[in-house]
Amino acid sequence: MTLTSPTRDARFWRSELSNAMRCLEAGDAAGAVEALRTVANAATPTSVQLQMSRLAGRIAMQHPNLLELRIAFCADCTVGDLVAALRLRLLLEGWCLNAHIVPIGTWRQQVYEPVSPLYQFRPELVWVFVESSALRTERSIASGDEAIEDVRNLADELSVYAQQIQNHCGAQVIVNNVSPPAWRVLGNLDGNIPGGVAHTVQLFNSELPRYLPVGAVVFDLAYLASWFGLSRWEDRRLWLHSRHPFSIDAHAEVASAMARLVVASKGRSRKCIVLDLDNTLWGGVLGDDGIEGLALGPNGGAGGEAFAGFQSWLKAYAARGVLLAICSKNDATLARNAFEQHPGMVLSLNDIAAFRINWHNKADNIRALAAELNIDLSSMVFVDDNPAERALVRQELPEVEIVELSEDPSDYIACLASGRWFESLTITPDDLLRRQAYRDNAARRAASVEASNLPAYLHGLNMQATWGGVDDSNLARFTQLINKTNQFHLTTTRYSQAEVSALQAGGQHWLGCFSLRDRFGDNGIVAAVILNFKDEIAWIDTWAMSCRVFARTMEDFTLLRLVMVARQRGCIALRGRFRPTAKNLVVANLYRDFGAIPSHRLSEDGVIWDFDLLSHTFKDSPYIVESRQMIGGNLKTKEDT
Amino acid sequence: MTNLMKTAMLLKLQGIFRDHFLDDSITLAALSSPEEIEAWDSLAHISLLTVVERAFGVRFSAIEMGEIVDVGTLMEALMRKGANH
Repeated sequence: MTLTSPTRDARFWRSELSNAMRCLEAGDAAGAVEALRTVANAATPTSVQLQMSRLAGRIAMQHPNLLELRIAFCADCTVGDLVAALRLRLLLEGWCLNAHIVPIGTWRQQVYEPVSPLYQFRPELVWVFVESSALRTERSIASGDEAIEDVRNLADELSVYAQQIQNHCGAQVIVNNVSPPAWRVLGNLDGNIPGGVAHTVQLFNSELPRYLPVGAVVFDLAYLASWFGLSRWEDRRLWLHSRHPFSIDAHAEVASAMARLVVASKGRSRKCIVLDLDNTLWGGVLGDDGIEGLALGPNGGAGGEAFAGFQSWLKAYAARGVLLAICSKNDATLARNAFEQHPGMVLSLNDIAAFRINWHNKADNIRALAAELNIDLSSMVFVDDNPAERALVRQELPEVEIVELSEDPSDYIACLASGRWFESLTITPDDLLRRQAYRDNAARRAASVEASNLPAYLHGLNMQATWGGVDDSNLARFTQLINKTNQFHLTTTRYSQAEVSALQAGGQHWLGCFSLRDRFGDNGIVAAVILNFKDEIAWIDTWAMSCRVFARTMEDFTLLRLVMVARQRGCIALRGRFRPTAKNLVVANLYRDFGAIPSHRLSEDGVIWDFDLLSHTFKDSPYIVESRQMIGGNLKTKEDT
Repeated sequence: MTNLMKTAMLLKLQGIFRDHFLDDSITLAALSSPEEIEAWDSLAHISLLTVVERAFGVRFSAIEMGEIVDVGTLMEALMRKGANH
């Protein structure tokens, strides 16, 4: 949602779009994407959105550096315009959509046939697009029980289809819920009594997530419809003429929300909000007005309440695992005092994972924050009321997302939320612990400064590791770690939860997870490994580790446990691959440093390294104690140390 | 409607088509059909009509959406609604 936008005429849009077209004609597809990005927001008129979608199709064909994304659509309505709009939104995120639309009326059969065109397409993601007409039969009030029965039948049917898709191809399944009717036979009562169509829709939408199999996700179309406005959303003409599910005007917003969910399924959601202080978290300038002079909280009038409301919103983000960092030109001591002493402060110092309060330029400070938190710039969002600071960061750090804050603090929440940067498919217990974990890390860093040398520091951490096979209790976190990790990830393999379940059930793989606690707290599951047993060789298909525990010899601990598992399966070699990306160079030499020998097997897909399990000696971490093995682990022995 | 007004309407439509299909080589005549304008396929039909509606300040019925099959029928529908070019 863009709250204010200058009135722009046709000439403005034509000139913006022709910039993009000129770039494309000159062979600069990346430049064309950047030109589109500047005009692609919710305030852009539908006619221009449609032109951009068309242009996106051309750019996607010529762009050399896009990642392909294969999505199949199973729908009973016309989704072609939606797919075109989604292609634009995914292009802006660096993906090239390869879409497969299953012909209307055939997807139910195709889901059941293992060799149908749906599965031959090898989708990474399957979108099941339910349409509200599936529920909207005209009824009398008396048939309320029947409506409830129909709701359960439809939810049950969809769960079976989702399960089938997961079993047959391991794709991420997304099912949308349905939008409420714009017009209602029972008027005000429609949503309140069984038999009312609005009631039926509400019931279905609340039942659907409970019915779907683990790993399948609901796309909340009902929310988008109400956000957009039902009277503008519904267009009966389009439904009657060509089975369009909602108005053309609504397509851009729906596609934009879909793209965010797709991006989240690829582990590319943003993780951290970098916040300015003056006139961002509170009203006024701390250095000039003093702590007492800040407008914040009920005593600060409407403005003060607006800032306090924004802080509450941020606190809720922190509680769900989004990191907050402060980047402000201020006196550091005074700023901390403001956190502790101002009665209107909602955020506490404990809510903040890292601080850069100084007079350096903000681009450098944000780089430093990224390094300190060990996250990518591309996972950060910057919030600052000062347009000059925003411009500097945009210029210096294009990977960082910049929130275009309104001048009115009552709009801040909408400005931040409308980007939908923090979507996730699930919330795991580890998400809720993350803030604690990063704060513990800050304490660890302080300890590392105190400790005069690294071994003493590592000993002083009193690290205890737990490990074992994956089971239902940790499957979600295991999958999340594989999909979210970019740095310590030797192959950057990605698996949906359904695929992980399939590997686990297959018997050909060992799926292991490792957790680590120390004297500052529990880090939860920090490493995820998939071993694939082929003949007498154990392949390390996947090895991902959280950046929170880098450089603490957790990798030594992990490797030795992999060796134990492989030996117990009777393997004579452990084989790993390093597949380089822009982000995982930190582990480029991991296998070499462990003493593996490069295999003579040539591979186009990275370098292959071998450990001889018969002769090679493996060292355990001298700093990590194995506390106990997790239930679900299929190993009980400890003889291999 | 005079010939002059028809010509003006045709020119305005031509501009809309060129913008919408990102193709400045499109030249419209009353007989131009989707077959002649390659990008005007069934998928593009509804989005094109949406844009034309906005530009002329009219609203097509579901029936008219089906009846409009070329530039000629589009212009007839617009004229019936007294669209100002």
